[in-house]
Amino acid sequence: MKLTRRKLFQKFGLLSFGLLLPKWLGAQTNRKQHPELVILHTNDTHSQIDPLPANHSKYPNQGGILARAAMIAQYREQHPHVLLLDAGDFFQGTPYFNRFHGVLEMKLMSELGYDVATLGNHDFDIGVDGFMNAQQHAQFKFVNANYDFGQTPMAAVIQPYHIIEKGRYKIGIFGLGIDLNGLVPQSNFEGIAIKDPFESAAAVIEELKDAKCNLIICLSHLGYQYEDKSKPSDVLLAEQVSGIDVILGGHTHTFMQAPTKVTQQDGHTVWIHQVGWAGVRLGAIEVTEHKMNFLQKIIH
Amino acid sequence: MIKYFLYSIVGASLMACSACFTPTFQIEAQTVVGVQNTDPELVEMLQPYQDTLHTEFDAFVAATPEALVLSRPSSNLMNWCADAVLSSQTANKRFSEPVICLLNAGGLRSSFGAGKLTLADFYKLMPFDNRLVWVHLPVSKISEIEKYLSKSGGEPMANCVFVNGRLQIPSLLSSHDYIWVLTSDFLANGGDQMNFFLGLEKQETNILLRDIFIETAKNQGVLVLDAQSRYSK
Repeated sequence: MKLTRRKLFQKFGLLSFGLLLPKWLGAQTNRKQHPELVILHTNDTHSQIDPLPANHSKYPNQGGILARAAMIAQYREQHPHVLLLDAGDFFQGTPYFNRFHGVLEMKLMSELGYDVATLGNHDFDIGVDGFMNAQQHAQFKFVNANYDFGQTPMAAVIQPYHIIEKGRYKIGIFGLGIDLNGLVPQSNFEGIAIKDPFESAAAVIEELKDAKCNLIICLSHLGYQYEDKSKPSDVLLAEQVSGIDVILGGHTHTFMQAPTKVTQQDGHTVWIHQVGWAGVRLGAIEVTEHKMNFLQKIIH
Repeated sequence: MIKYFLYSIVGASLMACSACFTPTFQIEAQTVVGVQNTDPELVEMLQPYQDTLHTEFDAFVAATPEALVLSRPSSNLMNWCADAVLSSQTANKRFSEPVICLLNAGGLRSSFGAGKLTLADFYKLMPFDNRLVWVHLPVSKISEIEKYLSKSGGEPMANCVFVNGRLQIPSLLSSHDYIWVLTSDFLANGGDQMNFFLGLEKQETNILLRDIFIETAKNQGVLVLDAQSRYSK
């Protein structure tokens, strides 16, 4: 068949369209995949303000508040909707804590722009009065749903949950803490009653659903999982309590190779993530409409 | 036209496939160099705290020829700490009843790298202000310690070893009804579920475990290490 100029134009015009189409589709796909929300998280930073020493056996020169700050700033430059969360035990572990009694940790977390934190057992190491003194320097929220702070001054500054709106997400964030008995001297949490974490979680989730939250995050200091499978843990929480989307854990200092996916009986998926200790990793969850990418950034 | 439409689809498919898969998890190694990228205000805010800390905590205490690692069931660091506590109390003294040391691995918070050790290193090892306590423990309660150790998978201990589920105390004779256990006030009050200490006769001291470690290290100059395992199930 002899090709006329018109037919040739038609044929190669369509072919060109065919070649350009995927690029356009790809661009659309990339646009859709650009995270609508980035959730950054830490746990068990344990007053590690400086990087770990060069002769550290596992994580030499890693961590440090300045490098963490730079990484967080980089995220904020690139993404309009960033959440910064901590799953507890920000106190205790270096002489900074012994010397400044938690004040520096609170100031630095505020400077870094933390939104919400929950409490770990070591955050009671200077007792209620010590915590209250340090938290005066905190410009972020504290959440815990299973400690009854009773008449202690902590009742005024720690709420069961906190709701933040970012873009089209209404995010309900609540906290759960480990049983302090046997972990913390009684005198350090006098007047605080420890409630069942799962019952507390179920109650608070109902409130968050009533408030029309479309993303529910639990900041947990229960620990990832224990040999005694009946001991409250993040895995057990994910299996037994419905309605949580993401559990950001702490306490067991677990360096996870991948987030744990738990599919509940009703088909709902719960993701569990934890990033070791000492601030040597920054967890980053990039949320799009149908997907969450979990990353662990090595802070170096 | 159908043929040309098919060309388009095939072309689109070939080029689009590379973007189909996105991993749901990855570990990303990202180096952030602090100096260029760091907020100068943050550096300025931190500086006085760092200066204070370096002035007060950078003092040389001792050296170690090799790393001291905190690792269950038994490790050179766990042994060194328990030995330090025991020897600080029993050196050149005789007791009518056996004396052992039992601490908790969870109470030791950091390993030591090889080389020079500063005051800061000892604060990282023992950040808690735990004090030494003598607990008078009936021999009949040793079985509770054995159950505990079986479950916990090993704790720092001295003047005893845990073998096949039994606590072997060389100095324990059949005539003994009690032993003395050197431990921390936290554990003596049932911390870390060491409930076998509850309700027993105790002799409190005002000596910080951290101070014992520092003094022992200073006296040794170069840490005396024992890597022999003291725990086997």
